[in-house]
Amino acid sequence: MQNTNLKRRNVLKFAALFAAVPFIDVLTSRGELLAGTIVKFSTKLVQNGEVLTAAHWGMLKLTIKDGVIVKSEPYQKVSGIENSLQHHTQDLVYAKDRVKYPMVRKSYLKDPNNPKPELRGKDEWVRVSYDEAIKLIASQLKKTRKDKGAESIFAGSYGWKSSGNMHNCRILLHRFMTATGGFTGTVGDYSTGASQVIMPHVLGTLEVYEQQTSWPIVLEHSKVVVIWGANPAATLKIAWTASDDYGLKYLEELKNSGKKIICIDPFKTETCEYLNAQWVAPLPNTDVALMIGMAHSLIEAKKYDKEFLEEYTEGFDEFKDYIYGKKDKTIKSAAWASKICGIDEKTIKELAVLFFDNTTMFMSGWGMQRAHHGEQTHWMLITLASMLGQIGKPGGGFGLSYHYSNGGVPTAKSAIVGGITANVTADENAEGAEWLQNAAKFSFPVARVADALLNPGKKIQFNGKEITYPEIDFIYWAGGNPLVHHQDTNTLIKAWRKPRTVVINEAFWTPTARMADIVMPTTTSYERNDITGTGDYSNLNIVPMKQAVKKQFESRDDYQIFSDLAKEFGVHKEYTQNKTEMQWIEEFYTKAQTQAKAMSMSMPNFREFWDKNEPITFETPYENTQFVRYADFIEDPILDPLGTPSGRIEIYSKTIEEMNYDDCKAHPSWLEPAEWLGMKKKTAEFALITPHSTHRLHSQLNNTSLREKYAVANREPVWINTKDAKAKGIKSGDIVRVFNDRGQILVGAIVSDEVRKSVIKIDQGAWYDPMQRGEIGSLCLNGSVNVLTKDIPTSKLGNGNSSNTALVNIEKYTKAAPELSIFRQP
Amino acid sequence: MIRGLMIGFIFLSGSVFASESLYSSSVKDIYTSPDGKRSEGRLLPTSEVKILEKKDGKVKVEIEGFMKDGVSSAVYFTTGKRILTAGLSKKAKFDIKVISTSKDKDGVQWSKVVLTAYTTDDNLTKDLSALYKNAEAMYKDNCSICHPAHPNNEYTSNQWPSMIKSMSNRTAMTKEDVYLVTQFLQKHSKDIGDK
Repeated sequence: MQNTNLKRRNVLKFAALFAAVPFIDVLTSRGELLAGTIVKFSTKLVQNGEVLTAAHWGMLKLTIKDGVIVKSEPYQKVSGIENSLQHHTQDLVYAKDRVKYPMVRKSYLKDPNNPKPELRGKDEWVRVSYDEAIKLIASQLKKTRKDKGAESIFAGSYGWKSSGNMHNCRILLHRFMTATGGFTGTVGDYSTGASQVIMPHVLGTLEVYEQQTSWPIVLEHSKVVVIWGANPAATLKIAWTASDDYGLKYLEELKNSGKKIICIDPFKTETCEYLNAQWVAPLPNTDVALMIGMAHSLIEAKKYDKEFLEEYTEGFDEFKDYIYGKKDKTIKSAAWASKICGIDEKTIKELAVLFFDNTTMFMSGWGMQRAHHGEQTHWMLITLASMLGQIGKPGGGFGLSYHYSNGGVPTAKSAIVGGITANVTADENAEGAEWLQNAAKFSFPVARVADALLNPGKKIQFNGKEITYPEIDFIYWAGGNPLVHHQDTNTLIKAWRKPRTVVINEAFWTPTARMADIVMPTTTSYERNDITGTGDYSNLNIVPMKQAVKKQFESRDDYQIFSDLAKEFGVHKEYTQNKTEMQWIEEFYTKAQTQAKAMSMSMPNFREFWDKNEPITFETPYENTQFVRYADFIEDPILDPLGTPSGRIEIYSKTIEEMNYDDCKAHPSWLEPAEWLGMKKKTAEFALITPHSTHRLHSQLNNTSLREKYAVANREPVWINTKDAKAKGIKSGDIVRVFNDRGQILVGAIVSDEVRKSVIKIDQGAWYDPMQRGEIGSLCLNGSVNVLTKDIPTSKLGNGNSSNTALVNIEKYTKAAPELSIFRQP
Repeated sequence: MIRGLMIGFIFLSGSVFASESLYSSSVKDIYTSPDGKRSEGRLLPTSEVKILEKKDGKVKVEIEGFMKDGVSSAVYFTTGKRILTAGLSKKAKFDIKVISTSKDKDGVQWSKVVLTAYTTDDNLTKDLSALYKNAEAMYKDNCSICHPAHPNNEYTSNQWPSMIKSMSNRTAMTKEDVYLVTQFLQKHSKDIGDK
């Protein structure tokens, strides 16, 4: 390390300053006095050596040579499973498509009052100075807020911002908007839009983001493990804070356990391959029918737990009447289910009995609830689990989060590091204070964004309430990529032309940044200091995220950008509390340290922790390794009731009955989706599934060399069944056009029996690269699958996205395919 | 921590007069007699008590609430919802007067009761709104680190405790804080607070 000189120089600076203020208690006042100096002191960069940092994909060791990142690797190796995401930090920092300078769209710069929104995406970019950009954003934001009210400012800003509790750009944006007078936000998310709304009615809690029966219990007690619509081998590479890496370790132990493992999925996932599991492949969108067929089979075989249903659930009899067709005269037997889901009757019956006869854990993913009527999937799964009577017992029941953020890794006895919050005192005199009272009123379900932009004033039903869309005229987005994550890109582009102003903070020229009026260049998390915990459920570590390299080009931290904007609004002090990056980080750390002290655990003081450049790892107490979800409730349903109206698992919900929705009945039911292979007048030939990619975090890392690992013909791959490919004259490596009445994309073919016949798979997250920029209906050259998906709500209840409900056609692309241009400077 | 100390200080410095209505600012032990040593019940934060008399650092209080038919260990804030005002030990013999009875929409009988109990003369405040304000700030500060904090009226009074229970170990909130925040959210929920 070559920082001795720098250090000495800083020590001298300290000394000089203290000499100048002899009457002040140097120890306690040092932080405030030396704010400016501390920044320099602590951001001294390692020129040659190793730096510890963290990303959603885990703790990383970066090797620095002459001030440049030359290597990125996992900080620890706890399993034999490779996490492909951990090796590409340098590709991000030095990406060809970095946003280097503040940029403004030409027509917008010329006249912000007449900015020609239809030119977004194809207009020229004009470089402006940072100060000019700040002034422009501030003046236009003030104008819109004054003319159209706080509700016209949309800053929901959904997405997987980078790890770190300080530079949490989405929260920093919310903090800024709160401090300056309010904004329209969103509720829910894209991952679990349907499930997180219905689960509180069924189980009285969110369920999807909660700790699971611990892995050691599963490994000891489960006899059968069913992985239903999940691909943990791919998705356990990431976590909302930072992965603790142990999810994959337990997956490895599951593989070695010799248990009976079944993967139910239209695609034979790498998890299924890895675990050497039995593959059961229903048609997309038909899992509910499959489960109902199993339920009927259990009743017929007299293999279901009546006592459990009586003691712990509400309304099974109504559901049973439904199975036996009391109203619709349709008996929903295995034979009935088989016709819908394409799994033979015998297998349905055998599986149902296998589950009942053995301690069975259902590990369900979220993909199947990202479909039309997605609310039904987990509701029905829990109904099935209730019939098995194993919920709350070691190794039995269900889990909706084993595939996510290391769910099931036992929770450590740990202290929790603080973080920047959106909760900032608004100016009492401004309309901000009043806005805070009404903040919730404007929020709408996150996946309805295009619908909201297109239809201001429209009223929609949402979970028993009526919501009125505000008229949005200003969008500010930080840390997200809606042009890739939102369904039906062409409708979104149309909607995106509605507001007068779009501002994006971005490190890269993402498809979304390209559709902005003003782009602010931001640092990646490797160009700033931060701190994070790891393992969203395990709370295993606290990690220093030391700045690895200097800020690239004119990029600024989001904190800097919003602090400077706050200055323009006269709320700089409220926004920053006069604290530097390092002072905040120290405060967040100290919060954990204080908590640790109260638990009689010792943590080093901040400076020691920071200088050491190592994570703090907490111990996991034995009792936490023995955690069984819902054991409390099963032991005493009176004293430990669920949060539902009845206090029990609601197979029948009177609350939902009262909503009287046609697309979500009072008990789980099979409802035909808007587009599926079994529909009468099919709109296209193939069912499309759009799961999470194995080598990306949604759209993150698509612009790295990792792409070479999976791209086919330099496009996103499409998996096509061997028979289907033969019928269409498609071979592996061919360029394929996939299309429907919503759009068209080019992808590279992988012909395989790993995907069920009549189904194709394209992972979500490839960057949208339209052949004609900014044009509606243009061919996407890179294969962004949301060009093809349907932008309809799951139901009036959840209003989640339905990204797995789509039919498409495929054909071999015989024309000369244009090269991509999305991963370069615009 | 500092906030907690400050509140304690304010409450301790305010004097408690007979027959006024105060609110508990923390989880408080309650007893059947003034010299009770072992806790016979727990009063939840933000619960209203009426001071009857005050002596030697102990106060005799009346707690109004609702009891569900067949559940002798819980006094609730209102009928038909699981918002706990006080939890009582099964063996304890508190003086409980039934004022009236009613049936909720599911046909369950509820009694409106007044429970007389003793507690220590501390952590009681007149200022309920300050207590709520503190709870709200704590909720937003801790929950909006990872995600936008959900509006208090998004979930029902029955749902909130499960939500908080499952999420709170990812925050630095103490157990004591969690009780206060949960009570705040329940009393400002979809089915209780202002809509």
